[in-house]
Amino acid sequence: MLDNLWLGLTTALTIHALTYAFVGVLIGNLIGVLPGIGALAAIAMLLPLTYSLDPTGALMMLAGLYYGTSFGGATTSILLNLPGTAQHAVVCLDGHQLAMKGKAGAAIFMAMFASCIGVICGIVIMTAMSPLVVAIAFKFGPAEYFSLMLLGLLAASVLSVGSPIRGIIGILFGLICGTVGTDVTSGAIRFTFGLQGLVEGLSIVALAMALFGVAEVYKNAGVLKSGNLISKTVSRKSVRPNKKEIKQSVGAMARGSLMGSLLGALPGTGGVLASFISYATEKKLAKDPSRFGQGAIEGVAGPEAANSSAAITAFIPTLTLGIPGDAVMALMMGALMIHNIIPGPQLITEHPSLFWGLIMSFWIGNLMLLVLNIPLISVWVRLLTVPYRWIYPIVIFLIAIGAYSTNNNLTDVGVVAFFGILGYIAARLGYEPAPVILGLVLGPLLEQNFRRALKISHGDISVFIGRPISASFLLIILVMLVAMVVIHIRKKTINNS
Amino acid sequence: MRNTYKFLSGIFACGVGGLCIWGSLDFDLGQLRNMGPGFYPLMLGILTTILGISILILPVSEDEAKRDAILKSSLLEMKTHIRPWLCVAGGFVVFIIIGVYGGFVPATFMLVFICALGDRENTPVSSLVLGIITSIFAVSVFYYAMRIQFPLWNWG
Repeated sequence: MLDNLWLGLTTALTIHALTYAFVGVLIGNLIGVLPGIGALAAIAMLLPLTYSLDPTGALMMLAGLYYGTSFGGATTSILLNLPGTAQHAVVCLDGHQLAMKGKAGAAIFMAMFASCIGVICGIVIMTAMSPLVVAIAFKFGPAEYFSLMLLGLLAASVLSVGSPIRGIIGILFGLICGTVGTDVTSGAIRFTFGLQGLVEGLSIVALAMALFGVAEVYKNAGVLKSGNLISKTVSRKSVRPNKKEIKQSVGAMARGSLMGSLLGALPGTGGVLASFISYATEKKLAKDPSRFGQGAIEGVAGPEAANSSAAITAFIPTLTLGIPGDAVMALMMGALMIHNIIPGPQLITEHPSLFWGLIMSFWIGNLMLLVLNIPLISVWVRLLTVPYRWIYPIVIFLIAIGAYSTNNNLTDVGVVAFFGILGYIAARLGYEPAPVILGLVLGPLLEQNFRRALKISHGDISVFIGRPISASFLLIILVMLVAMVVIHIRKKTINNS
Repeated sequence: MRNTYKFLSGIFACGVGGLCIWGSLDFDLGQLRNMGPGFYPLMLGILTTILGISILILPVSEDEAKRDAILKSSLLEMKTHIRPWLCVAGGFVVFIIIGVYGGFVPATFMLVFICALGDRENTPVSSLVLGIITSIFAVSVFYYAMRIQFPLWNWG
């Protein structure tokens, strides 16, 4: 195993590879800071540039783009409450609160640092456990996926401050939004109201920006007492997290990395699920859960570590099985195939330097990001001191153009406008946006796996309990529900006596 | 019901659930072994409506009481919100319409201009300047650097 890592290091540390990785990271970071323009758009735009490069260089650059944009997305989540991707929706919850308290620097730094740790953990698990992870992934049939996603969704309902019922309803809202568009199994077109742009479904990016970003603008525009987003003055010290915050985050990062590494191997939704479950776990484990939602640094560290490690292990099914986990992976696979490298089980044996070089470049790229961004953090933090009345029109524009650019479709801008209003009203009525986003992301997959499982079992619903892995997930769900009810009843009796 | 927050909250959920049920009945429901497209949304709608009703029925919790107080006090301040809300929402609508008929540049300018006018402290002149600066930034970054597919000018 160690010689593989060494091989990877020697490949990744050549000037050639380093240059391309750096270019990718730099451009990715700059693009990622623009809300709504995520890895997918960036990679799609820059893919043609890589055709003329050699496979190693091309892949280094693409990988750099990938996490460069991911990191940029974390920055806008924290500064402007605008998640660039669904994975970053959770970071908005506490990250933006920290920014409003003048601690944007600490939050951004912690996000970077946690990402680094997550990547290291992902690499370790990937090298040590790759065959094991693949074996587990093979055991996952539709019933298991369904139960796992259900578990993830329920965990996310915990994210709702104050009212678990509203958290569950929030998830249901998201699931309902997920039914908009073409039903994959039957081809029926649901809930599009005749709009051509909705046939593919509601854009996750559009909805995330609407519920988080636009709703936030509706909340703040014209009425901020201090004139800008920060309620206290920014001191020099708040550019880094202090010792206490680092100590609080260590456990979160460790747990998040572990969760992310395991969940990332499940094609498709690993990163999103991992970040939500990490947040929910940290909230449950914290000594004072009420800090969450007000600016708890673990709420940034855990999920960031989780989605970074998930990003690494997501390469396992892509590269070894040839199954891309999401659209970004599919593009990467496409890039490989253009260079005549066919992903699949033989990739590791036939092109070991490429595979391991790619893995190590993730780590090196993360270090580059850290170095690149440390001076930039104070710039980002200064940005928040600009009067809000100048910031918010530009933010609205960035949201509009970000929504447009996902599909070159003005319908998505309409979606943002509509759901911005709806999201603001819903938030005032206690429905937090994060569960809705998770519901939207997982909704279509949940339905597909449900229907597939039932089709395979010929309508026998006991298939979910019959298969052991699925049954254990459902058992955990049951335990969680019972615990929630018991705690609720106990609180009531304590209040009454 | 005296707790407005609780009432509106429950009605909202029931409304969404109800609409979902209504919409899903248009589709083929199928049976468990061969679910049609309507089955899943129907289940979601029913679940949402049930939970919405439970919000209405269950006794007021401490959190709901707190939030009701916040809601009622902010309803008094609603007037200060109306101008920014109209401008932001209006800005989006204008962006879409001008985006189709006018092109990227006028759409961007009008969006920023109208949104900026939403804040009482922004003068028409400063909104104009903000609009122009954003348009220049937008065209150089999004159109020239990133080659976004959005015609700059669309007259005729």
